Amino acid sequence: MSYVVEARGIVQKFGPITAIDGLDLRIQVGNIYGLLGPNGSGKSTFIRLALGLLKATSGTIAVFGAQMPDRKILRRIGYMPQAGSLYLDLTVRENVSFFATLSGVTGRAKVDEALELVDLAARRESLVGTLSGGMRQRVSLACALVHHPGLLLLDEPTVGVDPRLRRSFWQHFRRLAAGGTTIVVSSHVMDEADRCDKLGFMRQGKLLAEGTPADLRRMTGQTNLEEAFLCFAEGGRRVEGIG
Amino acid sequence: MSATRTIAIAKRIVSQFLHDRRTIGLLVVVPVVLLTLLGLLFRSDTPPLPLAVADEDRGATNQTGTISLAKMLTESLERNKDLSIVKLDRAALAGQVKDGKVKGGVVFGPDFSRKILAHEQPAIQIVLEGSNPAVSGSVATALARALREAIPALLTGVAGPANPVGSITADPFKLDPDYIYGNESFDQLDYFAPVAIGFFAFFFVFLLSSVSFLRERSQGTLERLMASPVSRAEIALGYMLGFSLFAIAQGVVLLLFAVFVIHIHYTGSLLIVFIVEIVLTVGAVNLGIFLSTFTRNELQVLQFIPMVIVPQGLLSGMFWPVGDMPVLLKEIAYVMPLTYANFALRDVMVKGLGLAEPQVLFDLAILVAFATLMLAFGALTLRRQVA
Repeated sequence: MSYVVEARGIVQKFGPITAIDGLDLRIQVGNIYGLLGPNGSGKSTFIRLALGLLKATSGTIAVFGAQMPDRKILRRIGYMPQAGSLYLDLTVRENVSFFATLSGVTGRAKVDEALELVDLAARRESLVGTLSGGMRQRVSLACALVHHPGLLLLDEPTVGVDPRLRRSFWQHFRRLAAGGTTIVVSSHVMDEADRCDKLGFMRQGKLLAEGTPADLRRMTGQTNLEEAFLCFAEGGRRVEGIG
Repeated sequence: MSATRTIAIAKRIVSQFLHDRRTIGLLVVVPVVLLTLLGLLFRSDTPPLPLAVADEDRGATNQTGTISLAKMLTESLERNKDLSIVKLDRAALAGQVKDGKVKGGVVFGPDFSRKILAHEQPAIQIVLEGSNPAVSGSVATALARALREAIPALLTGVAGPANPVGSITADPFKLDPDYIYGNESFDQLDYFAPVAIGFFAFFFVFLLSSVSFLRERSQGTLERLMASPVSRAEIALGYMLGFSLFAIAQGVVLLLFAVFVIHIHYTGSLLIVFIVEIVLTVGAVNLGIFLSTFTRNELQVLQFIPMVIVPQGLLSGMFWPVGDMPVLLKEIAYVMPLTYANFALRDVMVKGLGLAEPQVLFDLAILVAFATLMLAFGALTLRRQVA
């Protein structure tokens, strides 16, 4: 089986704090993988390790078969950070076009396509600083997928996005996944978790449980994922071998 | 008006400062350091002014015998404790003034004594380096004072001890200033304008690049950049190019303004001035990137102004010639990039020197080395800025 992301025995320490504590995680091609967990559970750290922004204290992480950090692989990855991470004094188009160029995409077609996708074509010449939080999230998503990456790493992508647009985001994620794009989404929103192919529950830097949404509900004996999430977050039980 | 609310705001401000120990340190340490620098600059003992004398006087004969009035004047100058006199020939004197080994020179012509006795009021040539009007002015004034103080002795020599006042004019000679660089029309602005252009470029580019980079980090865009295929060197070079463009535009405006509006005198190649400025700017951009690693907010960037900019303004020779500073300050000045930029800019604009001159090349080489070092530091610290 081929894995787009393959982490083995990852430990990431920041001084006395252990952010990731012996994590093994594999993500299959074309999967939408949901990373769930309370704040500070290590989700964002894992995403940054996968990007090579951090070098693990121990263990290895490979993306598309290459050990990270490896700058060449970054062309195949799209990243949407948790914070806006946009140039507020540039227009929507200038932001998307800038990140497109960095990933080797030139010309207007893909920029326009990305802006259409996030429903911001009409605001293309607006300064990002003048947009609402939700609109900025959309610009940020456009920047992440403008170069048609094979792996999308989305750190809480739908924070501040209204339900209608969130649905449209997920429809698009589904289309991308059907086309072979692998998507890793960190999230607190449980109705999003239900849309993932596979979920990993993280707590205190450890992967407590992994499986499909149905698996996780069954494991905890809960009927909805919200309850299942709380069950893992509060109980910290380690459940292995599912999924 | 609520005292509780007012005090709450005051307490909040104190608490914020207490969380930022560096700011508290800088509030006290930096002004003390700067005052120390100023104290050293203003209170340093002034060493005797090094001057050269070229005496070509053949002497003249009067009722007391053959006398050399130039020799008598030289002896009088040598007795003056504010001056340090070396005797040279005319060519060596010009060379030493040009090289800055002496601050000025006095040349007595071959007919000096004869002309004085003939009441012809001979000229004493005062050789001045001329690039710094303040220095030239003070040297010329010191020399004029010293020579005039020697007049009574001169009169005694002319008329003989029996009749000290004699029949000689009150002003037996005139002073003829001769500038190696520039001329008497050069003023302080001509000396200051070339380095002001360099200073402004350095100051603004440093400040803008530090703040931009800090924002890049605090807004999260640096993380996004680092998650793209762009390399650290590409980021540092891109910054450098972007900011250099504005620095050059600023330089063009300042230079054209200085030349065509306030009419500064300049002699050298403006192209070389731009080359110096570009290299200086490259260093400033990358110094900004590098130092922004150590800042968390705009306030901390501003704190680099008294730490990085003001000392360079004081010690790089903008106002006080580096060569005349106390040894300690001189050593500090020689590790500052702006010092070399100032040397080069003045050498080119005031003295008209070109790239063929070793001193200009040396200054430029130091600036290139500084820019390269800062580029490397800037690129190396990029990863730390993200992590």
